[in-house]
Amino acid sequence: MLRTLNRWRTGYLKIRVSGFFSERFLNICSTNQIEIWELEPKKDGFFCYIRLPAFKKIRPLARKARVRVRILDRSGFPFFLQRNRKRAGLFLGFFSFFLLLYVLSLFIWNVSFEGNSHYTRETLLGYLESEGIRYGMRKSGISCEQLEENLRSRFPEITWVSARVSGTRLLIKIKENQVLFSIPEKDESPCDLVAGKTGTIVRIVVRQGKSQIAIGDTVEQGQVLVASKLSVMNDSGEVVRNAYVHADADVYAATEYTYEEKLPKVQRVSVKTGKKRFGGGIRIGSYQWVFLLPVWGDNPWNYVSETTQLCLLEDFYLPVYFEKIQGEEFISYERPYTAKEAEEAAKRIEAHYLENLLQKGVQIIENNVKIQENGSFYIIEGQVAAEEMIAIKQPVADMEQPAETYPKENEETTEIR
Amino acid sequence: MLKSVRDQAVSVLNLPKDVIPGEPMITITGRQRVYIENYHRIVSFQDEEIKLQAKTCRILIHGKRLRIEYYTRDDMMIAGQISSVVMEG
Repeated sequence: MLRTLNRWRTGYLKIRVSGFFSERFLNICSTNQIEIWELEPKKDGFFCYIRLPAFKKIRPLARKARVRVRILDRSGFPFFLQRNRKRAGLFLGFFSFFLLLYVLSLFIWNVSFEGNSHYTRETLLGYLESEGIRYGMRKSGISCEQLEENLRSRFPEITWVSARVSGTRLLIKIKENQVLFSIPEKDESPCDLVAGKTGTIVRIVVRQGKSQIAIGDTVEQGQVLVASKLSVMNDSGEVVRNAYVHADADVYAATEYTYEEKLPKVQRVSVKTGKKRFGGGIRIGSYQWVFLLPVWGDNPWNYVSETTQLCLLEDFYLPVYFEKIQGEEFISYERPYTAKEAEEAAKRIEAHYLENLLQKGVQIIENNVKIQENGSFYIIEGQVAAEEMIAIKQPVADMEQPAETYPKENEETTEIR
Repeated sequence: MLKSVRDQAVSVLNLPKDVIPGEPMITITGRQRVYIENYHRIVSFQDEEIKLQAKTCRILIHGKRLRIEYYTRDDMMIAGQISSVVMEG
């Protein structure tokens, strides 16, 4: 391959060697290290190929061997140039291509991030945009050191960052702090625990505060479960003062949920017809061309496209995007649910509802679903028996203290006198 | 005399035979190609027979539509429909 390319670069000739001592000529050529290839004997002599620089040396050798050399064909780059020397457009196009490639190599056409998990690519790109770093900007306009410093100061969870421009790509490598950056401060402000939901208490563990309920009690929403107020008594059983604490407890209650969903009896179904269309597209900067055959018929089509950026070398990205488009025809129509489908739909609704409850930390004890027909609807009714933590915090608004029933210190002093 | 001493030296030292300088080496690939090393010169070249002179013998390659793909001072690649390779002398 390399040899062929080299031959094309220097130019080569197809020649015919004729004469009585043709073999001698071949031997002289090999002695003089003249490269000859593809030798074919014909009636009127040997046909072979020789490089253009070597051909210039063979005249004395041919005379010595008493052979005649005739040029049959010329190939290679020097002859290509000679043949096309008057076609200015060709050379202009050729050089403009390299000029364009050079000009495009001066800009950033791709930004890639590595090692980010906490901060998304969009967040980081948005920040770069605000810093004036965007696709299509001059490479010389980027100061990698400054960018690294700015990223570190703007995103405190980034502990290490490396930015470098490679080809037409800005490559940013990030290491994020894996542990919590700051320990959240513990809330110690006085508060009561109240019921967030109506239910029957099944378990209670109080860590701080005074319990106002017992197991088996039915509590209403908003009812105080654990009070923050602790009364300090004196020896005679009188309340000296009230201490307000940050109530802390796990209060579990049996709760009940009901839900109702309406499902139309008729559903819209989309079915693929099996017809497919393929097309392509090209986007250069802000210009886009799409190549897709015209559609026959009125049915809708669903299109999926896959975009690839042109990359000449590993890091040499260009602002040219190729799009691969695939379309699938589908028919959309309405039809009633079958009994089985209605049941499945009900199960889906139920599963979705239960999933939501589980995500909230609710433990499901029992679940009953009923499907009823009502005119043009199915009504799906569900009843869920659950167990969950119902306590929610409520700050203490009024921290009242008992009225003073004993003499003040200065009065007591007067009596002693 | 010198040749026999050289052959004996190769035999005693257990050297491979191809280290003897000047001996032709022929590699045949299927019926299409013959690669020859250590030939001296081309004696005759026709499309049905190629004669080469080596140091110790003459090599004749017979076949049809024979051609020389490339050749240098030391080696040569012959292509075509090879029927026989004969060593004379």
